[in-house]
Amino acid sequence: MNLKRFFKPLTIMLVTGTIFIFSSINAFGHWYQYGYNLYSFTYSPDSGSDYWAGQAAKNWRDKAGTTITKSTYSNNTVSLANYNYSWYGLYTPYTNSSGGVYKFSIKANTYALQDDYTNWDKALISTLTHEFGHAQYLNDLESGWGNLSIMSYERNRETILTPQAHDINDLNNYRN
Amino acid sequence: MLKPIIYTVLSALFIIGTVVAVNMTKESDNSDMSDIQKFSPEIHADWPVYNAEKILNDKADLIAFVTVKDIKDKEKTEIDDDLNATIATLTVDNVVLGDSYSKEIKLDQAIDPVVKGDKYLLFLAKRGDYYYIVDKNSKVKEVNGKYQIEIKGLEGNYLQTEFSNKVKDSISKN
Repeated sequence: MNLKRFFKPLTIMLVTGTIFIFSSINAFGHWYQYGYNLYSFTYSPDSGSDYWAGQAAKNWRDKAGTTITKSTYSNNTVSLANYNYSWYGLYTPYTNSSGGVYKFSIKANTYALQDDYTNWDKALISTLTHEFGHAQYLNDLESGWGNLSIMSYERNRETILTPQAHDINDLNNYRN
Repeated sequence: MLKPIIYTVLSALFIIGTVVAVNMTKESDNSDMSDIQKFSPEIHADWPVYNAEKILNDKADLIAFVTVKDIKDKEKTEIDDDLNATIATLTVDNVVLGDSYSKEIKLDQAIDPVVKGDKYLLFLAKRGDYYYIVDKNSKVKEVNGKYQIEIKGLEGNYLQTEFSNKVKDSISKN
């Protein structure tokens, strides 16, 4: 009796099935319901954020193919300011009566970034790229993700400036 | 003779296992979505996350158990005209670290405000007239008399006295 003949294909099926199941749980678990658009949107930066927001938009265009375009007519705003708060960036969606997001605002806090990072300009790009991630329905990853995602709180903001493979996978899952 | 029986049993087990797993996945997805809809605030921040050493030695001016006495909308200024900030008046019940020169302090928040009447353990920085939450894990709500701490190096579910002792231990080791 050669049992090995049966165990091999069954093991492959079980492993494949398990990977599929857990990857689906992962993809849905990171969905943020107040995103704006998965493919393209515009933004209007203030004078201080113009260059940095452009870098963040380019990061998404290069890595994930998202078209994020600067437009002075856009209702979506990006700004920099010195707040006393400890957060580095803030994404605020504005919803209509049916709960749909009709515009968003992004704020970066230069006070907190300069207090924590020597290369605060890199951390600023990382933060704005993170906030553009929310506009694409990506949620915060609070712990256990290290440098694996631009949405991770634990990432090194001086080195992780662009969307990572995990973010692009999530985005592609939402797009399909 | 045994071959078809073993094959059938293993196949049946795999099919049953797959059906159970898929059902669990569906339930998990549904609960994930409903949790997000119920609890996820609309506004999201990119927060710092510090370890115990950084918070205790560098970031926190005051660590205290507090009760929220009152909360009001913050007056708009030019810089934060479209932030929905709040100012909470906190009664300081017990100081763990730092100095609170008053029994009542003011907390300025632009996101996830504290709730009137609730008790918290807060890790705070003093900036100007107000106190500010230090990082993502610096606001801990009391649940059944205990506080679930997620700060690396201080993780655990503590009573007030247990947490005060833990902080004293951490400081004396440094």
